[in-house]
Amino acid sequence: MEHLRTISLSFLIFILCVSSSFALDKIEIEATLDSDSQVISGFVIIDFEPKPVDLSALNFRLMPYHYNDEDDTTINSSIEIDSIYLNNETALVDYNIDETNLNVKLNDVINSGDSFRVQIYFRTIIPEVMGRFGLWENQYSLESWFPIPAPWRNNDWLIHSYAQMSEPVSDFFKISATTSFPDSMILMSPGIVSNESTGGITTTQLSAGKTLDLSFVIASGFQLHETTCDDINIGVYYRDVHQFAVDVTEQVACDVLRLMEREVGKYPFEQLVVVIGGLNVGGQLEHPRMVWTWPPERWLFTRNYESALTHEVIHQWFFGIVATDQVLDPWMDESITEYFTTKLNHELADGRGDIANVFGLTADYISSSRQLGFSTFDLYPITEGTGIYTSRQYGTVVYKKGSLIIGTICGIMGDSASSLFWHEYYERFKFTHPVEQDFIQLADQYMPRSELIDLSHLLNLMNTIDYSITDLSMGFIETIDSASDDKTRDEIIFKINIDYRIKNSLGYPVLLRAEFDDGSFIDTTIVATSGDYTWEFNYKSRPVAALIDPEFVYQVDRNWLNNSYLVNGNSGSGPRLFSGMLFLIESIFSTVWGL
Amino acid sequence: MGIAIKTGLWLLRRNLTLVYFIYATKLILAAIVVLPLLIISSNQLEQSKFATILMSEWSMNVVSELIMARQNVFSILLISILIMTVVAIAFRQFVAGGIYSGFANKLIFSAPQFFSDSAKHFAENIRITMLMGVIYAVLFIIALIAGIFVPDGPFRQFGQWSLASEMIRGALMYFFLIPGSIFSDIMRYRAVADPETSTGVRFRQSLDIFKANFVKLLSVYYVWFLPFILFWLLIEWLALSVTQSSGSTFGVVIEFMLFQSCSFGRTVQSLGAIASISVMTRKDGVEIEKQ
Ligand SMILES: [Zn+2]
Repeated sequence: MEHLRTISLSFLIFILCVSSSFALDKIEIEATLDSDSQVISGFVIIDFEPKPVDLSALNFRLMPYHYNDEDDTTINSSIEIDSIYLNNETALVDYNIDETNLNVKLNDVINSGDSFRVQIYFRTIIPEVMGRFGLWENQYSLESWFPIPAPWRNNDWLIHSYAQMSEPVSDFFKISATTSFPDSMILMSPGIVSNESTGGITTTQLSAGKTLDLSFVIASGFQLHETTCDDINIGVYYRDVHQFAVDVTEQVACDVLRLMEREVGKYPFEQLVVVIGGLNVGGQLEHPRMVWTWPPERWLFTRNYESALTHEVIHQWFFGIVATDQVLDPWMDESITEYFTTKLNHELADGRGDIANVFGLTADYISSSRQLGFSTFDLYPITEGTGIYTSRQYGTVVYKKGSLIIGTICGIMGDSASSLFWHEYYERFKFTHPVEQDFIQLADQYMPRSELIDLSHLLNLMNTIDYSITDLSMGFIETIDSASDDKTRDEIIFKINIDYRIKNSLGYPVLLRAEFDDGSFIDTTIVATSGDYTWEFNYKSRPVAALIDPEFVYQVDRNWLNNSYLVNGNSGSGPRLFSGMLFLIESIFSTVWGL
Repeated sequence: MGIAIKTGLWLLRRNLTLVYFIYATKLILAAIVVLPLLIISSNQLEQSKFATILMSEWSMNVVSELIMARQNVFSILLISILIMTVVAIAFRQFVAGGIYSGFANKLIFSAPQFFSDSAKHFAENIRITMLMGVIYAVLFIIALIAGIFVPDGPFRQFGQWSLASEMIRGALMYFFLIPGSIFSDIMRYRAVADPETSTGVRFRQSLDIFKANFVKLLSVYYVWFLPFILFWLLIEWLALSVTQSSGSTFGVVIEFMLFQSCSFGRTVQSLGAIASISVMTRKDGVEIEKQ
């Protein structure tokens, strides 16, 4: 019953989302950046499409407040409201600002079915801070800098309380903007229509068709290098000092665009912009059709830069197009994005050492995800809202543990079903705002033996499971081959016992495999609760190995070393580690001694 | 310089037992550090197909799984490295007396003589080490400053070329420390030649010798050092080739032998350089001929 109601409810939401995406609210901005007073001010005009209910209030999101540091009162940043007009004539004076929300009360109700226009004059104070919104070393990085309508969900305004790790949540709009700033600088953003300079002022016209926000960087000293990747224009803004990173940036962006088209669906825009050094703190940041990277270092593990860029380009799909709510369901963008980051990293590195491959030393992205993900695995489920996590927990739980859980879901589905799933998920929810139940219901349809699998439980998993093979033993049955009379041939049949253990069983199917010296193997699928079991069978060939979950489908399995049992051992991996460590320690002694 | 090298080789031949002794001590101390790791990990690794990749790659994936499976692996290793480093430093101070007086007096290695010399000069060698600590700190700061001037890779490239420029930076910094180690050798030779002198006076004497023979001392050092560097690179390359191509027990055994020959080579090179320097450590700074 409960189930049926959620299905019909989400279907309704789905219909509403789809229908609203056909006619987008239009936003027109005119703003001027005053670099002396560090203020960007002007007005924003929003042409609202008719709402399906009567409105007695309007709500807008004012993001910069969020970045005020409560402990540091010297950082002052806010969007100040000068005046608000309805349909070009009525001044709306009854409004108040509560944290990031601007609530405007209407004297006269706006009737359902009526379109309407709101004009807001604003003044945004830019703080001198590094990060996603602020001025640092003459570089203005501006995100969510103007009043924007609060998200419209379930026939009402959605008013979020933005916590430390929260990112802006928004609907899709058609946005055009005219921005003026001193002509010593340039504006970096997708969708630039024109640039004109007169009297020391540059005016840039911007236009974006279906977008969640309008972010840009205004700074001097940047150049633009453009390439095309198939039919998509990739624009990379960079300073001279970072020229060395331009090629790799373009290459990664193009690779990811192509691979994600295959994995999920085609990138629906004509342009992708990367601003190298757009984010002057650690990390990289996704914006609609744009990525800000950190200032890259020439350092050994440049794969860090590449995989962070991979992550942000993937966000174009999971955030920028399938626009889930980062405040309520951060896993729906971050865990999924991390899952694809792991997958694409592996493919882009030809499957060998995808974060490091130097001098015979290799490391894969997934091993660091496992190391970090398991460090806080039992602390929180991945499905909490952003506000509950500290920044470290947010990284290890939502990103890393999340990618292991999504990886497990896709692993259980199998390659072809998960590919179909992601394509349908994308087609069904692009330019909409799906929630957890939408994901679960669709994924459920692609699960083999879905009656056994509780996706909601898996998403909220708090225990790490462990599949292991504990022993492989064999006996012999000798049979006399009496069928041929001219010679008696002894045939040996092996009587095989494979002991395996399941800890914290999910009760899901898992593959068990026996490998033989003639290269053959036998698979069997088991479904079992936690405990110790034995797989007994007779076979004509000598067993060499037993494996449980041989393809490592279960990324939430805490220990992958014990998933196999080699009868003859691998004769050397332990000794080699010993040999290498021994040489390393000897070298340290030699250096300390000078002997 | 030819005399110095010839003398060094001649002294080494007379003291092969010393070479074996130093190498064996290094091997045993390192083995004590690493043995717990082998014991803890071999059960986890030997039976595991996942770990098989370790036969051909230094796979951090496997190491990472190992650390997760045995959370204590890392802390045990770290603690034993720390303890052994202290033991190793104490050992080095102790044997210094035996090594330097053996070379200075052109003795043939004999254990009783070696250990009695070691005990006799132990205290003075500790004092020299503490003084050297200060000198190394100063040299290290100079090296750091010099390191700043290494360009960020002439190739305007990402990745492994930038690693190359970091390695040049590291090597450059190491070169700044080498004169320090040569100076400490001179101090220690002076200590066995003239045990009664105060450390301060010895410092000045050694500085005079160091200045007078600076070029020759460095040359002798590099004549020993550079072939070893080439040898080391060759060993690393061979070891990688053999493990990556075979991925078998054979490869692991060969690699072990290569590593150990490199470790032995390091001891030969260091002792050879020390022995060669002995000819330039007379109070008047004049080279002496072997008998
Ligand atoms: Zn992200």
